[in-house]
Amino acid sequence: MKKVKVKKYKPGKLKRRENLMGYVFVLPWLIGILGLVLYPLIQSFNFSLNNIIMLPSGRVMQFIGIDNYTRIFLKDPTFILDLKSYITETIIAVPVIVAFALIIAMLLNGKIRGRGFFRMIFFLPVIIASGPVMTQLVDQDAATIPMLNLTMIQQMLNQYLPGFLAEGISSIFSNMITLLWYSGVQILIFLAALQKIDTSLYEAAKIDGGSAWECFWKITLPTIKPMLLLNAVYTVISLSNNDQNSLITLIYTTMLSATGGYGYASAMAWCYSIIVTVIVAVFALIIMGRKDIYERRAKKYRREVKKQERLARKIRKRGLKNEQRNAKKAA
Amino acid sequence: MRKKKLVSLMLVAALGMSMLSGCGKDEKDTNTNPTPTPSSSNQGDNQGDNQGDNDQQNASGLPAMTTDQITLTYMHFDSENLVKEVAAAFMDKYPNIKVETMAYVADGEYNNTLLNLINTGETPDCFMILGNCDFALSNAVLGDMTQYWENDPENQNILSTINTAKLGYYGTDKKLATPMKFFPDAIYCDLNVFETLNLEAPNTEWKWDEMVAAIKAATNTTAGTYGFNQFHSLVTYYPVANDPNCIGEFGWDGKEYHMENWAKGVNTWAELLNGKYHAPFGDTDEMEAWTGDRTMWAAYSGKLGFQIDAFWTYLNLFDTPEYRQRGMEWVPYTTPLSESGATFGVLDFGGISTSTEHPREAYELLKWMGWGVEGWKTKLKALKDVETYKEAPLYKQSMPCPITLDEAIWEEFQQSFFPTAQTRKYESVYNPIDEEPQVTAEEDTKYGKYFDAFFKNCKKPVPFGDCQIPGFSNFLSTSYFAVGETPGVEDQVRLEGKDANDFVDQLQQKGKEANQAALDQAKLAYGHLNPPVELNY
Repeated sequence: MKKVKVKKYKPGKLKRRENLMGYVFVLPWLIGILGLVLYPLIQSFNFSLNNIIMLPSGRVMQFIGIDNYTRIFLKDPTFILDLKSYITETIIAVPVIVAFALIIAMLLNGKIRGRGFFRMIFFLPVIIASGPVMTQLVDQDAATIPMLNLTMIQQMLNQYLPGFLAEGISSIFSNMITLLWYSGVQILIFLAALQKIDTSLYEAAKIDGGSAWECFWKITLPTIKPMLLLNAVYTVISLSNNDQNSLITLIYTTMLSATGGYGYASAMAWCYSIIVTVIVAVFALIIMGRKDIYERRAKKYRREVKKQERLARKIRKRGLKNEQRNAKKAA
Repeated sequence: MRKKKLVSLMLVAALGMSMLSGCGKDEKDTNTNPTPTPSSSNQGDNQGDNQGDNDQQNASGLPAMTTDQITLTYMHFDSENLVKEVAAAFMDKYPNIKVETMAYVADGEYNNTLLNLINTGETPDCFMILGNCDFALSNAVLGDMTQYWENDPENQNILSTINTAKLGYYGTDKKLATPMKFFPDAIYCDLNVFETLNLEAPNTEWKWDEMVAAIKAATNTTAGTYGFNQFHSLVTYYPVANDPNCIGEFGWDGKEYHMENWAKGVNTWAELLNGKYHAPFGDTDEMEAWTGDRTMWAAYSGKLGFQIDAFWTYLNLFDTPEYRQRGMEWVPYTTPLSESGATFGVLDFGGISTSTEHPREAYELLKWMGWGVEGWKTKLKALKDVETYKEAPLYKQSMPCPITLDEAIWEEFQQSFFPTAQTRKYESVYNPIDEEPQVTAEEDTKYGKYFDAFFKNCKKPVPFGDCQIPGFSNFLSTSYFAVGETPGVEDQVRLEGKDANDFVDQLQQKGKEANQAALDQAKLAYGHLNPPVELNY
């Protein structure tokens, strides 16, 4: 049988240009990651395996293997204790922030007066309350809701919940304003996603008698699910590397401490980044792992169709074979 | 369309360029090579190698300054304008030396910035360090200036504890750093409150018990007054006031902690707080009930006996019309005097780099910037210059006290900015903000004697632990402050009713271990210098 040579598909001039433009836009990020992130990343891992003395005349590195890592987990209680609080607080704070951002985004997506103004208000903290401004606000007790009786809330939580959970939840209350300030970007992302949903879907649902509640669960939420993940990831990252994070402060002070230094602080930073990655992975699994009922049914239907097609092909082949056999016999 | 693409490309290029703008490298040696350069650690013993023909002891006992054209860099968190004035005067005296100053904000980033400069080979020749001494010792950043220090006669006439307590030696045999700025701690007393309560203002030479008695006397529920509000803690003051051998926090004697006095201090402090002698804390119901304003600062209420605060609070707040018009008459007291006359004060340290090629000149520049008489003469001139700096007078910008004990300097310093009961040789500066003299004759009469006593008694300062005790910060963060769900030691005493004496043995042991570990790390680091510097402790 003669082999048919398939001609390779060549993109058109316009397509090539578009591709090129895509690469050009990605280029700054690539240069950034290769030039500014990758090297320090490798260097910090190298640091973590060494005891480092930063002499003015040059850096002295003494290789100590995984000693820094074993010290973190076996000798130094502070990192583990701070890590525990960080994990509890993050796991509680992320759903709070994402849910708040979604609610606000839906409100801002509605037809209300001064919509643009309110959108600006909610995004303003992202620009203003960052870095030192945030530190100042927290220092001046502006991170809590003034009318909230925190002592009473803490006492109540301590009474009914295990210590680590009570501590985590009460820290949410005491940093309520800060957490809401962190929602600006998430609101923006949700808003963009909500505006992309085809309105005909809602119209169709309403014709079929769907309530707003049902529309939210069956149209809005499934459609913006990828954004839900994006926001969860963004929130984890933003909570993990801000100035108020006690682990960041610990790593920082360790770097300058007598028995710490760059090596030990780098080991802490690596442990921390692994934990952050694990938290991100957990949220990704929770959000993307569970498919909704319609998606499951559609998948099942597609599977069924494929099965039927396979069966039909099989029957056709078998019929063809039988015909050939009968023809041979007849001959 | 083409224009649009062109703009897009330009934007991408601009973004790319700006991302890489921080990657630039100047021509200087970046010093990332692990091999130490021969110039490192050549201070003190090897100073002659760098001085060449100029290596002659001058009249003052110090080697002569170089006549070569050199540049010195000085990194600091002081007032930028003030430092520039001193640098200019230094360059006038030594025209062959160019001084470059690097000003940074005194925040958590400062020490890290210094380490980053070291990492990129841009170590300043001399610099200030902010608080924690450990990073500087464990990286052998501070050069040995023992020879200069001990041969400089000017250093005999400085705040006496600097030499008696061997501040900057860190328990070793090397002078590695020295105080650059001095802020005596002040316990401000509102004379108006005492007058309202028909009480006599306490004795300016007060001891610990007199201070506690005065705090209790100023607390009056009928009049709605509280005894004190603290910025720095009484816990820090107790060992200084009650142990003549104490030269640091927690009863530090230069080698170890004696925490039995610390324990008494914590117990007294807890008793005063729990006994409601301390003003309500901000943003509490108690504060709202007391002042009607939840967020009020207790010292602004006009119903507070003592405010324990920083030295600069007087010029920046208490001596402003806003406070005076509310009837407050704040005057400073030193922390209670010990038998040896020591009181508590904040000292900011500085030193010369182990890698400087001009240690002698770097030392001289450091002296001008910190404790030297010539430097202070320039500083006073600049501080009093309310014409050039009329928008923001330098003396209002956290002005420190002199470190030198030169009488003329102190006289001019006090009389220019503060009241005095003595015959004036210097007129007070004109305050361009309030448009009146900084000190009026009335203030001299009413408050002069308090300031005279304050400035007389503050000259034997004992500083905070982290700036002079290696390992102190580590000790605090791992054994003293709250770790996880375990509250800090002070909170356990105050809130859980525990006796501070029960913690003494354990804390002393932990403190000693942290100190030893920090010194061992420092010894290791200094051993890596070329030639190695041996730290004995």
